[in-house]
Amino acid sequence: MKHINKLFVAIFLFGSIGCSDLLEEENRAGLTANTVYTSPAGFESLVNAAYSYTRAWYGKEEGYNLMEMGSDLWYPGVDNRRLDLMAYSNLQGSEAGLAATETFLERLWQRSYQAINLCNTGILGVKESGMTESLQKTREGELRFLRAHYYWLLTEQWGDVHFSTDATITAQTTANKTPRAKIYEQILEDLNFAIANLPVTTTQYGRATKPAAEGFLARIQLTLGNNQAASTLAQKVISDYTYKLLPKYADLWKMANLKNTEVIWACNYTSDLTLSDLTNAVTNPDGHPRGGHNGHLHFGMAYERTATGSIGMARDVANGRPFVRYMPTKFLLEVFDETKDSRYAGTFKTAWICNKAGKYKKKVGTEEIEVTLALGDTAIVATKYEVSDEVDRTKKYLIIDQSKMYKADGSFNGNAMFVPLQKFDDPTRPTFNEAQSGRDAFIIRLAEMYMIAAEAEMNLGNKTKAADLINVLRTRAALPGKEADMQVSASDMTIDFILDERAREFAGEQLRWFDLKRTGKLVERVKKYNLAAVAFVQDFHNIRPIPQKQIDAVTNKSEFVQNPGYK
Amino acid sequence: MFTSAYLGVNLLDNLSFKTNLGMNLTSTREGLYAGSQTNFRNGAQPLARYIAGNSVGLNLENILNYNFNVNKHSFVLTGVHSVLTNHFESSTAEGANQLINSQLYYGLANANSQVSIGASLKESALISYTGRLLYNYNDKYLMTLTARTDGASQLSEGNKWAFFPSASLAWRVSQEDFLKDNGTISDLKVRVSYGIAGNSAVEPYSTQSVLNRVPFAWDESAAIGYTYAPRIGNSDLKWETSTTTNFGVDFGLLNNRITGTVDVFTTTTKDLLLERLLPLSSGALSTIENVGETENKGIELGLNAIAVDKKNFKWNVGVNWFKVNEKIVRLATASNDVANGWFIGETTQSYYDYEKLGIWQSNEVDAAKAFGQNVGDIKVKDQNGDGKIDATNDRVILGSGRPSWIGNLNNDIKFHNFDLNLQLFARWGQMVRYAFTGVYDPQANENSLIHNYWTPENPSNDFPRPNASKSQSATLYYSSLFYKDGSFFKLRGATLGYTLPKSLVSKINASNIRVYISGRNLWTYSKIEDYDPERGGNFTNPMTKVFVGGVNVDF
Repeated sequence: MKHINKLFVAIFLFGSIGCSDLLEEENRAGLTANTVYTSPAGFESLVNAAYSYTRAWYGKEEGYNLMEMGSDLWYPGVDNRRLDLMAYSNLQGSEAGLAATETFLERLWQRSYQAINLCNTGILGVKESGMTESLQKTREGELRFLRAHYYWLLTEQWGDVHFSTDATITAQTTANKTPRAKIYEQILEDLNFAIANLPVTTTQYGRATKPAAEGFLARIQLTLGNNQAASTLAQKVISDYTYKLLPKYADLWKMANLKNTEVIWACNYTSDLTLSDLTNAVTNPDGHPRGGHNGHLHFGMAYERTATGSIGMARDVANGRPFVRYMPTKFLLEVFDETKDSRYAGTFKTAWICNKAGKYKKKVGTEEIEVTLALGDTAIVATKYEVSDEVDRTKKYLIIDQSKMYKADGSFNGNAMFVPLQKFDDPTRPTFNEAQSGRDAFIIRLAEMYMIAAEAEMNLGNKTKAADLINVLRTRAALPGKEADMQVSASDMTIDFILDERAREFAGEQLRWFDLKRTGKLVERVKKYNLAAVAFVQDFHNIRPIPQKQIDAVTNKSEFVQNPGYK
Repeated sequence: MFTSAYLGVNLLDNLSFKTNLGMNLTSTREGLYAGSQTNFRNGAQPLARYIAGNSVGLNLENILNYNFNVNKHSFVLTGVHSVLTNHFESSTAEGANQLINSQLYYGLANANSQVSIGASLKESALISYTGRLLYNYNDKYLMTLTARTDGASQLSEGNKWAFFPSASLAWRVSQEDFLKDNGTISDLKVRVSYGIAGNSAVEPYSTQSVLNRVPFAWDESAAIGYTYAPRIGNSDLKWETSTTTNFGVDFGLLNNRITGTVDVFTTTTKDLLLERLLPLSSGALSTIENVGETENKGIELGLNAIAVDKKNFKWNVGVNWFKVNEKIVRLATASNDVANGWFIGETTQSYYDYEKLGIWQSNEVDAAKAFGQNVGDIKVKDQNGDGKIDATNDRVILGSGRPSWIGNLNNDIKFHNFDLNLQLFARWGQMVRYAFTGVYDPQANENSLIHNYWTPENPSNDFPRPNASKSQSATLYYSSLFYKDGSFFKLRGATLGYTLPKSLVSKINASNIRVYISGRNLWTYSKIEDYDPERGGNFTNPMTKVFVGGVNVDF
């Protein structure tokens, strides 16, 4: 009997755990595409995520370096870590050995393709989303608008790039090089779908709308040389909707005015940092190493650095945390006539008010003068003009003048202290070292529609019309009483004037590199105004090097090759 | 916490059944509080984080054993059924800007911004059925035959189960009449084995393409997104299998005063499971894959000797020496996989980059110019001699992270009341990627440490010249500076002890008192200056030297 009992227990233990249900994987805490993207709420999360990749490009150092720098407007600041991108020196696809915060090509390439894969997934799967038919159309329109935007970024930066409208289900090991023209066909198809299906307005700030798609298509048509279409679309956006230029240019950049009548589409950031894109192992595992809008960091100058001769200033929230990445070229400062154009003062910061009282030694030429600064005194003035030592000696404040910034030939002399761009400053950050700003990055604003229409009309030979369009912007930009002085006429309309006007209107707004490339002026203008790059820039720099990491990973290496000129 | 219970039953005299149930419970917690003025927060709001983890491992084994003898033939038959499960769950809570710093993470509930939570669960199971026959003839001839079939939850449907047979034979030569009473060769055993083993150690859910959370918003209203995680699932994951043929000899000499083993083996691993980087254009970064086939040929030597055996002086020496040559035989991609550093005929840890020759020197102005470079720049080898340097033709395999050999030497010395233990360790021939190289800032803009950089007066071949207009990124071939010979030889551990004389010890009613000092990583011979390469190249967590002193008292 005893034996039988034991035998029973043994068989029980043996038999009870034999089933192999244990081997079925359930992943009860994780999510997969099949389960999430097939419900309306889940599909919304896909669309939200598809927008989030704009944060990789806009308001980020990666984006500034590829979209704004290497142009006629900017020199590297002393702390710039990507001098190769600033000046086209030694450009290669490899970013091996660089810190995670410095691998710009790889990150933007990767982020854009992650975005496109998600857009493709959504566009192909929207019918299974369980949404109402009309909402399906809207969301598909948004995804197509976004896909067009990401492909535009990719093909403008890298030329003939990998192109696919399929969702990646399994590991892919090859890539194709699709001609830029073919990619533009898809961009046009996507944008036309978006225009036909997107609503005119949205209550959810940051979503794409019909005018945003039209405005972006205007930009594309101008790029493709379809001037009539570009002008028509741009003027439609100007006249058919409720967008209005702000009365004062400087007001565009106030944190209180992030949402204003001029914004057609923006990359949305938040002051609630839980909704920002900083990497967090738990809540955002695949985020960005800095997060938020970073423009307030990168364009700042070293106002608080005593080692570079600064006086009277300590780092604070109002004056920002300067990363000293980008310094204006002499050309950029001089392209403004600040006696009549308010955009100079609206764009640049020229005075710092003492926030650290005390006795300081101020340098004038080679001598040192002792000055006493009280709170509220002017501590630093930065000016594009030359100030003589005689005058300098009579002032308590430190003067950063032309010769401190530039040599006679226009190359930079000192690049720690200069006249910095202040459009992206954010005095509402909670602490002075907080890198994440909640400033939204304007991607398309109304002023661009005027400039697109003007450029297209000029290309079509309608110079008077072009001047009229530009005068709308110049009238807004004029200092009080200077409106008449700001007007331009048909005879002023040249492509160089257009580019100068765009510099005045859009400096720092991540358009410059595309503008120079579109107009075929990249090499010419960089050689003329950017003396840091003059020795390096060549025609092939109109296209970026493909990240070596991408080339190394493809199995069809003979087809997918590096862009010409790069090694 | 580890607990186990077992139940054993003898069903017949020579038939027994046993059930083992083991349970491994682990609980972890991690609290972090970083104030505003810390390196981590760098002036941002203070952050508190609390992570609680809980893992339950269950191991059930049912073992049926049957043994019988026929004359001098002895047989043991064993059947094992085992189930291994792992369940790991964790939750994270985080928040910023709590009011009172001194409460640390205990005050997390008072954090008023950036409040976020997370939770994760990972479950896996391994089921196996094993049959084994042990055969023994007169302690002279030994044979083991094993057949097992394993099922792993992490692998894909249809590939979860695999069969792994193995066999081994041994001959105790010293039991034969002609050696039985030999004092010189006191023990001798010859072994040969052949078997297949499996590996399924990949993260749970590697077959699935999971989604990652992305914080986003419309204006200031949350609009959380879910996007594909960078690692794409592989629905075709199967067991990695290793087929090993081993030949070994165990021996004892001079009445076992010297003992040793020699093993020679070849292992062929098929369907190697590794994470593989993918072209970024696919929208995915990597996948876990059965990437190919490797072959390992190795030899392992062990020797133990009692060098001195006197009443007041004993010295025991042990040596281990291990050498394996790994090479990739086949890859899933027909050609070499550059992105992952996998090349046919090379190890799975190859370093592939430009080959640094040095720095262009002052007398090489023209030669440097021919490559578009200047004196003071990094000089790399033009491998194909075409007069230009490019990523396709001029990168080569520089070395491997695998060592040529590993050696251990252990000494135990007792001299009167003193005892001394010395452990020497060497790993030789591996290359490391020395991260500290990345600290050199050619712009000379940030604080750094001393680097031997080139100047006209200091014609160094180590680092390029400082140049305010050249960031690291603008320095061609900077990555070629990182690779170093990581060979090292070290005194890994040493202990010196002294046992107090009994006469002294008995006065305080103790039975034994020993005082000792010991240390770890006391001395290292390295080819990298001031660095212990055992860390593998990383410099943020260097190897530590440890000194310990103590007293053992027994009553």
